[in-house]
Amino acid sequence: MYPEIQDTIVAVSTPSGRSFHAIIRISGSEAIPCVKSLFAPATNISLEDIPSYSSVKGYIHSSKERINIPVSLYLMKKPHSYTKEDVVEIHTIGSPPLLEILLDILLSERNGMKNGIRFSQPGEFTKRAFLHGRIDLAQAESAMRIIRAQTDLELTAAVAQLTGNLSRQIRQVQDKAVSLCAQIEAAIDFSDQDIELIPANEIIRQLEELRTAISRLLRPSETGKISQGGIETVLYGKPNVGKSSLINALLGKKRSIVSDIPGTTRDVVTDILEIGGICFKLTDTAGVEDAKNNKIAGLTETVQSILKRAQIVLFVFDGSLDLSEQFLEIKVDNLTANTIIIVNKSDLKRTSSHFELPPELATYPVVYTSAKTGEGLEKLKGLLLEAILGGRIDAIPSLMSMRQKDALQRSLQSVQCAVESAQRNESHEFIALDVRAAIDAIGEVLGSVTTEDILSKIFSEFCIGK
Amino acid sequence: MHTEFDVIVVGAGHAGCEAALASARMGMSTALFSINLDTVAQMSCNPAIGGLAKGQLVREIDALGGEMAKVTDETGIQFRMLNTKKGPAVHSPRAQADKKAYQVSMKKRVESQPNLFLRQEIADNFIVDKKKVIGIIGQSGLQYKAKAVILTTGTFLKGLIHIGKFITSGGRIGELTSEKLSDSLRRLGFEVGRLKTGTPPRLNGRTIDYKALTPQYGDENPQPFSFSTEKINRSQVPCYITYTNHNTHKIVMSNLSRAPLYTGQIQSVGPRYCPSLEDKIVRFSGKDQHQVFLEPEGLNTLEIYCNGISTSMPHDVQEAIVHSITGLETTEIVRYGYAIEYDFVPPTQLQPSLETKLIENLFHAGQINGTSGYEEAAAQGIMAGINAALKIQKKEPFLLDRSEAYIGVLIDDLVTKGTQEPYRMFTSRAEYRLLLRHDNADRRLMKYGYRYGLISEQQWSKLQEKEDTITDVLTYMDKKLIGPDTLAKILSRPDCTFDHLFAIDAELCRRHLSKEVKEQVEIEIKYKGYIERQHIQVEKFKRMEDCKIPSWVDYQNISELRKEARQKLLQIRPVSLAQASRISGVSPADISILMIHLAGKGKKITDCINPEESEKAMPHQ
Repeated sequence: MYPEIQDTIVAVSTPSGRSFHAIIRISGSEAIPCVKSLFAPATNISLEDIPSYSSVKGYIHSSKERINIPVSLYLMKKPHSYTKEDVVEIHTIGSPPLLEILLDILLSERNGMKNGIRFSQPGEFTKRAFLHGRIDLAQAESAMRIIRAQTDLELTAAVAQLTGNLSRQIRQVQDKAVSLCAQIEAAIDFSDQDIELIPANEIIRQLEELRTAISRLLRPSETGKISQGGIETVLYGKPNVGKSSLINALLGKKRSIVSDIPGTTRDVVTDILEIGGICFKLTDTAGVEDAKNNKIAGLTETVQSILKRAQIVLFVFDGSLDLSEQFLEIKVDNLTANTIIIVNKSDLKRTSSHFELPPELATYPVVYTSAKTGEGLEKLKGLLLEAILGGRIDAIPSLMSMRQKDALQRSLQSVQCAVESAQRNESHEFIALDVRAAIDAIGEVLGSVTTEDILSKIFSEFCIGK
Repeated sequence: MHTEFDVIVVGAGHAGCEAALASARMGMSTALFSINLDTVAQMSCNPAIGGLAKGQLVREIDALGGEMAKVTDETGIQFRMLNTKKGPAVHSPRAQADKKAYQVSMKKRVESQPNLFLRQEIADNFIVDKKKVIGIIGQSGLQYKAKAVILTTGTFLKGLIHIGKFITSGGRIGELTSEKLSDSLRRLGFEVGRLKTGTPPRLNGRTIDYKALTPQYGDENPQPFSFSTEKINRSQVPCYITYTNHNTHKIVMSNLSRAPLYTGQIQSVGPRYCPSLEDKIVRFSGKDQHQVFLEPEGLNTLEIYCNGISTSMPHDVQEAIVHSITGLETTEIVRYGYAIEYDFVPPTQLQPSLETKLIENLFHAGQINGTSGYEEAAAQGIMAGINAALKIQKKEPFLLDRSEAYIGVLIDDLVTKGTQEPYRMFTSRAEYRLLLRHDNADRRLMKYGYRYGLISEQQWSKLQEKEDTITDVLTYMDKKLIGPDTLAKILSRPDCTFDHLFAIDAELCRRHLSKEVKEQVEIEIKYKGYIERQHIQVEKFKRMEDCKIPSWVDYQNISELRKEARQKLLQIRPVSLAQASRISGVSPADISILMIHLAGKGKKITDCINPEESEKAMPHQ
């Protein structure tokens, strides 16, 4: 459970999100052998022959995704590196999915390794640098501060990301595993008592259920795939309510032609807005509106399908005009997506006396914005983020950190081992060994489960005591 | 008058007897005080030794040179190996004990031990000099001098007994209590808590209708507890099984207003794994019957222990409960069940050697540490006895870690996590369960018993012989081919046993292997994969365990530790990074910070973390 200094550690050392360039850093005795087995250099050169602090180009092949990922390698041999261990840096394109693939390849190497290769803990490179004497004693204080700060930061971020739907699902998996573990342990420790012991086929059934549940968490779902390009966010409203201006204001740039002539936006335009590390794919429906009559020419097929696909709908109104009237013209049935009501142009003088929102929309959050003054934009961003973090949108793949994914991956492996033991009809204590390992791995995401927790579960579910 | 000793042990129960024997055998002149010499090694509750995880403890005590297993073998009246349908790691021996015979045998062993002085005495106070205990003041004011004191007081510290509204003081019903000692502990600065436990009514066997009940017999070939016992010679008797029923439950439910556990008369916490009958019925109302074991208390008595209906209900309700049960309709209760509350000293105030952190040379073992069970008590007793002797001899304490023994798990849990209820051992508490088997307790621990002079030369050489044979056989079986496969490979097949091998390999057959050797070889071969996995886990664990935290560490001044972690570390004062990591509220980041702090203070912490790198790592050393 606690980090080992003999292990080889891996981390992405560029900030998450989109940047042109990303670095994966590997430190430890297995760094060079591990990369050597994966890397195909562009020129005929052996990895051992590369001098420290120079680079070599080539690619790493992903057999799963069937792609060659172009990378540059930098080698820093011990003790001439930050950690005073062998360090390999893999420089590549700053694309999160690509980084995930690379990490996946690297970490899947761990099975064959003597000392293991794993994700680094927050601040672990600094810790190693210190423990190996790279950082002098005077800097001990700052080394401790770095570890504290990085841990707290990661913890806050991880916890924030895990609120809502995802953490609920992982929690369910954890509960299932703990419950199964309690049943198995009860059958070991209280087999001499008058309690109902879990039958072998029931153990297998529950393990398979667990395996399915964890696999599902790890598999990018349909919606998840969309989420990888950003959360589908559609701006919808009467022409000329200021949708394009709003998008520009949110992005902080001039994007499409903005004019007072309704329907200036001719096509379905999309753009990516990043809030707190989460990408929203903004789609403007203006391009499919009836430009001539300043009206929506009925709900066209295109608009229908766009709205159907939407994960979030931003329903935009012109705040200077009668709201109910606007609503009548653009009324949509069966709006199932998350909806946020935007009353735009809050800077303009109101020309109508009907500013009450129609009762049909009363349940949705409302934000008053002005693309011109910037009023309400931060609140809108907050609402968008909350829709994700509050778990109302299923966006698992883009939200689970790679470390969390790695932990779940390991729990899946343990469950698989347990299934195999159970199918071989092994005794309970051998199955329990892997179920415990699975629980420990999930515990890295949600907080650990102790023996006391498992005992409590036993005592609450079984009447123990002769 | 003999009032000067090396060690004084207060309390002659299961912990006290083992503590005193170990200390005396290590050459310490040892006094063993008991409130009443007729109840030395009394079984306050059920007449049984061993059971799941507890059986392993007894085997470990035996491997260290303790007495519990030998006395059980000599006096036991029904032996059973539990969990035999499962793997060897969770097989556990259990025996019905003959209560009186057990007591008498243990008392005689204590009396026959040179260096050991049994005394009827009540300890009231300590003589302390500069935070160091130097003696005991008895009930009459008599002063005793000692270099070390071991408290093994069981439930006797302000024991308070409840039967319905009737409340009386006593360490057991009808016995005295120690009213003053826990106040003396408080005055020394100890935190003292209170726990509760209970016991069921005892019946006159003459009045039980056994014909209506199902007997449960022991094993046909009873296996001894002790590695030095050849054979069980005593005659074996059955237990009987019956059940509570709807009527029993109705009686309990309609009398809850008279149950001390529900009226608020009893406030302290009892064990969840050993609830009273009233608790079982209230908490598991869906269960329409509960099993009751009728266990004989000995061969020379008809008294029957009524396992399963521990209760503190008033006398008339206990009568009604018992009479509602099949086979017990006209049974006479000879002793009523009761609940008992008693003082304990939360064990986080102890070092892993069981010496208190507050007062030097004062050791606590057994129920005073919040445990329950004879086996848990005896295990702590022998450890405290050894460590008191070592302390006086100015030697390093004897500590077992979690990968070596259930005893290690037990003590580490107590001193690191403390306990909220009477603590009982379960196999699920042991991370390295597959290695901590009852069958290999001698191979794991006898070396320590021998080191401290508690295991005889003869027993030690017997173990050496066994080890040599095991190595020999394993080597032979790894080499010898039968067709394409080695003998080891063949034995590893699910249904294959040694008998199959003997049939196909004459040379192996000629070796006339003992049952014990065959068992060890078979386990090592059949469970090789799992055992190797646990060994790898243990290796990692040991590395952290070897990172000792020196006592000078000033947690107050490590500002990067979170507040909760700092407080916990201050309270527990862990001896190693591994122990620190097991404290609830101490996170991996806190451990990293601690590691850096220690390295920063010039402590050779990296030596144990990374032996190859250590020299380069700490050039300033």
